[in-house]
Amino acid sequence: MKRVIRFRLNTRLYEEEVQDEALALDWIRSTAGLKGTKEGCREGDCGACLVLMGGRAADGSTEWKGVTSCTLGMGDLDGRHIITIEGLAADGLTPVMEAMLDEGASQCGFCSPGFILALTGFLVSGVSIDPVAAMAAVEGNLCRCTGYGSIRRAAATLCADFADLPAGLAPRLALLASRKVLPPELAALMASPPEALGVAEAAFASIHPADPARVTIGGGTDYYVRNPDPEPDTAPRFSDQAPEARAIRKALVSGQAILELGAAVNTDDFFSSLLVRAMAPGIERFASDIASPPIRARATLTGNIANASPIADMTAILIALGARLVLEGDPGGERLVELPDFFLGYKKLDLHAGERIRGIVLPGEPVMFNFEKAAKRARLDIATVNSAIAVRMAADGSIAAARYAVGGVAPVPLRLKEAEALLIGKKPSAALARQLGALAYEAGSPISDVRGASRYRRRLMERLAWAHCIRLWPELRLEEELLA
Amino acid sequence: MTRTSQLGSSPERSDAPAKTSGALRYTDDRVRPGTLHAAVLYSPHAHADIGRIDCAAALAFPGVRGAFTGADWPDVLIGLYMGDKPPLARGRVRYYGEPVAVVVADDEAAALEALRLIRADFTPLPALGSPREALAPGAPILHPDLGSYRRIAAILPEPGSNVANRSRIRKGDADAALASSPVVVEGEFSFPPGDHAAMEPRVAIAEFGLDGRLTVGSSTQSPFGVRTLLSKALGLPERDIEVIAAPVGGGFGGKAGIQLEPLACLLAMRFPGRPVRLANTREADMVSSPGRPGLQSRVRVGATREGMIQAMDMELLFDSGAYADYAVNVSRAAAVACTGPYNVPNVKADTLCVYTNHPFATAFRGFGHIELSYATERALDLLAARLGMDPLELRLKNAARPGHTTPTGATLDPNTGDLPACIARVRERLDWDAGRRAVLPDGRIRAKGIACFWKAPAIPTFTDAAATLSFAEDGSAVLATGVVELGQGSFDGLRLIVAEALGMDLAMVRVLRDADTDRSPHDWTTAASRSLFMAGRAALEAVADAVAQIKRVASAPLRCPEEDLEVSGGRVFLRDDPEQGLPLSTVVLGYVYPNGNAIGGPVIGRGRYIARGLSGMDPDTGEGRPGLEWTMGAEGVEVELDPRDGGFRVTKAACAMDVGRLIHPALARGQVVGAMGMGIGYATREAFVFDSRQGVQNGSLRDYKLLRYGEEPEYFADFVETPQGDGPYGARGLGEQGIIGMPGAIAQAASLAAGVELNELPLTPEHLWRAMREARS
Repeated sequence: MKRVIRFRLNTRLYEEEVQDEALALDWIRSTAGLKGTKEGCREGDCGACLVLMGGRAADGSTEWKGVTSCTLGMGDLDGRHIITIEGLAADGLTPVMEAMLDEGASQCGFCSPGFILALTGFLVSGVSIDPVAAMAAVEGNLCRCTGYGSIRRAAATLCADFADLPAGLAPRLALLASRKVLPPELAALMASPPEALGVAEAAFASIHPADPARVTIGGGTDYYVRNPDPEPDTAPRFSDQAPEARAIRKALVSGQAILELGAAVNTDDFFSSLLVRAMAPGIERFASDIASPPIRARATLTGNIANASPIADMTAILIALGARLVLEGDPGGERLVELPDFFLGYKKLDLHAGERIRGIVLPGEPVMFNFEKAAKRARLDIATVNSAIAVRMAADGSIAAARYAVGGVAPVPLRLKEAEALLIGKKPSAALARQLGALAYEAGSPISDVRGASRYRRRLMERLAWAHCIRLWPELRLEEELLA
Repeated sequence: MTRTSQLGSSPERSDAPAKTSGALRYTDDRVRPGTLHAAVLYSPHAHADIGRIDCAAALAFPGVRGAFTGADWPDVLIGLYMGDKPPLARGRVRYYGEPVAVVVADDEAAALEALRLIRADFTPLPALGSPREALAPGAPILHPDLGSYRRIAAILPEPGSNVANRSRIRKGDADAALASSPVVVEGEFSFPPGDHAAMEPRVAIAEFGLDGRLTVGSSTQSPFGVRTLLSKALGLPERDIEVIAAPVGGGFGGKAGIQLEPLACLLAMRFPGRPVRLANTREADMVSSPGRPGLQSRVRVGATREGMIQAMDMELLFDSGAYADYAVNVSRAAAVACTGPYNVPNVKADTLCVYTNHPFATAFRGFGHIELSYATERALDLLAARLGMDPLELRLKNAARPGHTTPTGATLDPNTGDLPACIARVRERLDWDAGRRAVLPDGRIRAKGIACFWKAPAIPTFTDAAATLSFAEDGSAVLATGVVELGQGSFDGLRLIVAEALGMDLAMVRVLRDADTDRSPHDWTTAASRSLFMAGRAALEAVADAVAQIKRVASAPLRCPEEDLEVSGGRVFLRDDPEQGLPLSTVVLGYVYPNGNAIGGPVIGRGRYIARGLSGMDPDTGEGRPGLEWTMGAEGVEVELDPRDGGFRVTKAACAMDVGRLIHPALARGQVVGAMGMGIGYATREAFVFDSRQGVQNGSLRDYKLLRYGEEPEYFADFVETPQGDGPYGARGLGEQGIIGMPGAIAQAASLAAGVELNELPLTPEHLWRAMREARS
């Protein structure tokens, strides 16, 4: 659908009629004529089209993320600021470009703009400027020429040169401008994104609604993979246009603390939330197991749920954390559904006509949490199988409460109540881990497909169960017994 | 005036500023307003008869200019070495993803929308899923017209079968030598086909001008080859075709043949005066456009008890997919080098290019050598195990040296690289003698593997290159060649060669980038790791020619014989009295006397090269000299395997290669390390997964897993320099070779770690886990 929105591209402010559902990638290349943004896969996997996107975070502050413009709808640019390679290069080569060039990290060059934008975004928003963090920042970018050795050296050089960046966005932008990482004119504009023209709607619906022309798009990371060229009469809503829809709040319901997550909370929001981290200490270390940085910056939790993949990582995590969905009926009715019960069959949801997902509720009590996933590659992959566990311990060292989720072994994500029953009341031990592994081995009815054969999935499930026990109770040194 | 050599220094790549700033224009960045867009309907079946295709609704869609099927061009067949492929399927489809129909519209969205309105009926046929299936008695014949296809003489198809080409090597008496060998091992080794996955998807933009000339911009490695083939396929003379190759976003062989150009041109000829753009999506690029071949092989090796190889008997079956295209020469190249870099006195080899119902295969970095190397290296591993010998020692013992003969009977001359020195470097880098296998405290197993490789370019005997060298007013030099920039950086190597030969500062030398068949000197193809060697030779001749012209002009005002002059440092001067001379800027566009009289005119150096002394192969024995220069080397890896779930990664990768002479070390290292990284992907994850009807299940980057940042090992790239006598400054080709040994080295290390011989690729964790489980039970 056509609509007038307001956004900035590099230093230029646009108030422009755009096709809501059209891809930012196409607009940048064809309408704006900026050819440095490349199309490599059109599904968010290669990072050749990566751009930096600035906008408002849930708390109203300005945030900058690297995002793949091939999974970004034009309508979602309302109130946002996009930076392409041309914007960075406006005043000449930047130190990021120089580092890539000096190390021979640009061979055919097709992936270079994406890598340079990802590394620049890392310097703008990275919490700690060190080689490990820099590596994580470009995990969403593929290069086919270099074998990555030279890119690694370039990233290490940058980390050494910029180890002393200040923490706040404004001083950091100023410093990056003075050191020519960002053209000064651009840096000055990056502190405050433009005001959106449109009015935001927060609620998230299924991506398979009755009226396909009225879809709600979260981050677009699944929607655009499935619909790379949506029909021009699509009139999507973008759930993350309302900053409050990305809020994570603590609330008291009948004396019990709970966490409320808005419909547009994305993967980054979730793992960086102090409330989430307080509830499940250490959970942030699993962020890097989920997709890649540009996808985490955009993929919403409710979108992941509505997409109904049986191997969705965030769904398994949320099931273990005891999530319930807040579903809003069209005339204002509201109901709560336990997340595992929301999945009726393969890609089939307990969502009535006209109903939308308004948010997620998590119990607020602190838990010990662990997440494990097995994929063909160690990271950044769609899981072959995954599993999440959350437990609370009693004073005597026995397990007081447990939730156990598995994905990839059934048409829907599963909560394994037998596993939970096994654990509750017992003290962790190698024998218990073995029993848990045996239960996990039998869980579901895994199929054989391109991501793994059924038997291998079972074996992996068993291994993940053991891994849970080893990680949750490191003091027991279970690995020595289990892995002998 | 002595100058220090610039060779062996690593100046910044001249195209890096344009690449890192996003300013460089690749082919698809050059779409002009008014361009028509084509969208292709791809076959959902691997093998099927095509029934009715109804394009009426698509044609009626707003913005659509035309819709076409195979019936629109009933006689056109395309292909590089053998013309076996219609631009759109006719009568039947032979692979999943084969183009069936195409819509042309004013914009891409309309073309895609209209495409959904085409109704195509198919009647599925049994699909052939491997070379052995295709060779089995009673297998459906995929190309009944095989006997009538246009082909080059070196290709020997077997009509009535699915054999698109068979190359034979008969050297010595392999049967007798095997019968008398005290130790004989035999094994079968295989892997499925896969894809190049260059970051830039293929694109062609063609325009048929109102003057009757056809212009096509293409992401091609072979502008001149495309021109010739278009001429043959379309019936237009070469003079009416211009092919422009902008810098390419990665080729790896996948853009070396002819691919999207014929269809784009045929469409353009229907819409004279308007450019037509045909661009691949990633999925089409992976499945519909050509990938790399798969392999089924069987190798027998006979040796003495001391481990001296006596004979090899091998059968290499290349899975060429539905069309043979470039792959007929891939299997032939594998025959030329079939034993790997070892001295094997008796060889019997049949290498076959076999049609199946898989996506069709073309050149891929290594060009048949990954396949043969994987098969021979695995067989040598079996031999080492049987002999109880260290695999490195076995390779060292049998390493090919000058004086030995290749499988085709060509003698390795003193230009041949020093393989033992390469093996020694890898031995050091991996601390080989400290032990090949260790169990780590956490239960994982660390193991090492080694493999050797050689490669000669598989090229026509008349492969050529050319260069011109012209000059600007400031005395700076500009080299023009027909080489295409793919990321390999040949231009910076050529720039160093020209600067060195002219004794000129590097800043005063430029190399032109876009290759354009109307403007660039002829050049066979940017492939086969040959550009530095051949265009380098042409560049040297162009420099010599220019220098002679400069001396001739300068000899008049300097009043001396030409032979007393020397050109260096941007001047032409008397050798014995260097103060007496002229700046080049006063000579290269002609010399002007104080009174206004002028002589000379612009200097233009001409340089040519054509391969020397190559001959074809005898069809029965393979005898001949098809290989120009041999680049040899050794590669080793260290891997870590978790025996409990097959978790596996390559932690170290080392390559030592004899490159003759290092021209630009940083670029050379970039090529070798990049090739090793690609080889790790090849061995551990990259391959198509087919369903039971031979449909591709992982035709996207989501499911076809490339190596990612953070998964790379610690790399070591070392160079040995045994000069190539006829190479420019002694250099030889090095762009592909780093990939060749990786699958063999990784399979050896993984087999050692797993305790079971792993004879199939890719070595995914699941594959390893299953193999270990089967070995236990």
